Amino acid sequence: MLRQGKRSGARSSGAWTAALLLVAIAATTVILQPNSASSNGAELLLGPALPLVFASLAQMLIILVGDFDLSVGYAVGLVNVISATLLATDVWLGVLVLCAMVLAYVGMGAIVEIFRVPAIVVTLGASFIWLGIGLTVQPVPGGTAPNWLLQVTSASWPVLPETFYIVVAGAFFSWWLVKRWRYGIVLRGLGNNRSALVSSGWSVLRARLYAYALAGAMVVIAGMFTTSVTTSADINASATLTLTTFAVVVIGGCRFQGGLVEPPGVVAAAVAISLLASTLTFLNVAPAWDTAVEGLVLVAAVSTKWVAEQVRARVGSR
Amino acid sequence: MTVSATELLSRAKRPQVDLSRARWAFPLGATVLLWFVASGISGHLSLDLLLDNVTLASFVGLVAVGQMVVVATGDGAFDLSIPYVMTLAAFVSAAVCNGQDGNLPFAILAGLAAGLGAGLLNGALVTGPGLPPIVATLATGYIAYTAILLMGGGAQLAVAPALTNFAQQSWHGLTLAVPAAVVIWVLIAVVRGETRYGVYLHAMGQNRTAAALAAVPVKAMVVSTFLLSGLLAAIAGVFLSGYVGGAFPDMADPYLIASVAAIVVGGTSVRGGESAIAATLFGATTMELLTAVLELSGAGAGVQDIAEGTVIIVVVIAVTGRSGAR
Repeated sequence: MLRQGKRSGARSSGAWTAALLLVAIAATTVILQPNSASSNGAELLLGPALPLVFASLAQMLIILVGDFDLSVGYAVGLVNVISATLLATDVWLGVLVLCAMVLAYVGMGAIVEIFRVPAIVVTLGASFIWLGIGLTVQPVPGGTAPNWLLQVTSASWPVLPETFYIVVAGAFFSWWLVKRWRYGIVLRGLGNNRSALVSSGWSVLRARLYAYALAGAMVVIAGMFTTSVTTSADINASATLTLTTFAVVVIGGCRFQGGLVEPPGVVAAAVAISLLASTLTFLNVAPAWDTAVEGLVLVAAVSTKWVAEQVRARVGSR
Repeated sequence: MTVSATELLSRAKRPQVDLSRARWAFPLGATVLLWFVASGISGHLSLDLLLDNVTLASFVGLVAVGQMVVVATGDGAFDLSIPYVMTLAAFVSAAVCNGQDGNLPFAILAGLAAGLGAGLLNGALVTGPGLPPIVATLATGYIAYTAILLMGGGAQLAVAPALTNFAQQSWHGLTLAVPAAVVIWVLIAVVRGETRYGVYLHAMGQNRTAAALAAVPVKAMVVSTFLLSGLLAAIAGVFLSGYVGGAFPDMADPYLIASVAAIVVGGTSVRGGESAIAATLFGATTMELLTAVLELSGAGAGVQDIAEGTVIIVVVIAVTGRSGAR
């Protein structure tokens, strides 16, 4: 009981850290560039965060069941390519292919569970399959976003920009999935204690397939938002997304061991990291630093957490 | 007590003739088969084609052995920083060299130091804050990538002419990289097979808790494997920059999947606790020849990626199925 309480305390502190970070970065952005507080400015800043928000939620769902998804970057890139090519020319064929993408995720989950192979290897192999398909469909950046997609993502909503509502909806839905949905506890159980789940009679295969299917759906959403933000198809544009999702998940207060995730924290962290990139541009930091920032932010976040734990343990032992 | 001496001997020998035990047999067979297929496409049996690919495979083989040692520690460990560390070492040595042959020895040492530094960062992130190895190595890789972009301004750097001459000198496509790599593999094989290090490595891969209880210095072992992987990646990166005649930001991109593919095709379990150097090296040649066959048959870069990804998934299923049946 004591351990349970301690853990949930540590978890919510993770989500709060992400929220505080978001507030701090947002404030810095507004101070550096006062226009970003306007409705248009906020739309421009929040828009590019959408692919990262949903890609991170996909990664979070995979981590929830105790796996890692090394393919999430190229998977989002592939959906971006499909939705800026096939979906623009032939809507139904495009929709069919995007459904196939969700099924491909289910397939990865099936391989991991049925053959008991490490998800790292399966998703690493899959990432090259996504990259290969993307390069075959669209060898060089190009294509166009479907008009209806641009209209949907730039609709005007009352009071706040549409992007804001999408971010909140994403946070609420994923929170409901993990914390309130009746089957959510089974998914958490799979990541936390697989053998307990097996001995209480649940199908682990079914649980893993659910998690991968939901992650696949998040990937499709992330890829379509990528298309609406960039209005073109480029498989390589999303390549670095994989590491960024790991940074987001850590800062969002999740544990890599599985079972313990914090959806609102993940969403807040995703928006914060995305804003950080814009802030660096305002500060005239060389673009070469962009790739290192995610790495450095991740290392800084984890090290701080670790040092804090060490200090707490030392103080506690006295 | 009634078992005769000859019976005992024959029992002891049985694993040696059992082909399912000799892991290198499958990738060796695949290598020969793919060589024949490639020769069939190009119209004649070409030794140069095979030796060209052996040279390329020796680069893969170097980093794959580093990857294999990391994977052998278990705990889902992989070194995803390998391609970035290879490129970083190539850039560091090219920058220190500045095109002058006289600086070469110092430049090579600087490149290797960069590899060791990256390995140390990986090891520190994994053993300190307890980051999962794949996340830690990905972070290190991206930090290295930024260093690469800052050093070369996103463009290529020239390497010393002496390094290019040395790395490109070949006999029917077989370069000096191959014998150099062989020396390194033999050294690692001896350490793995004859010293306590190898015993520790496999013990912690099979059961980390038990190994720690048996006084295996688990953390030091983890750091040492990342140092080794970083060093091997640096050696391969510096060699590669000489072979291709320059250091490019994306020169080592194919080496991540190739290093994992070599292990998987070599039949080593990716769950840790085992290692097989010869099998991994034949796995590397298999993957190189597969790429060669695809290129000869006119497949684009996309199809090659799809093929490599599919091979990894299919073979890892086959290998796991086999070890599960045991």
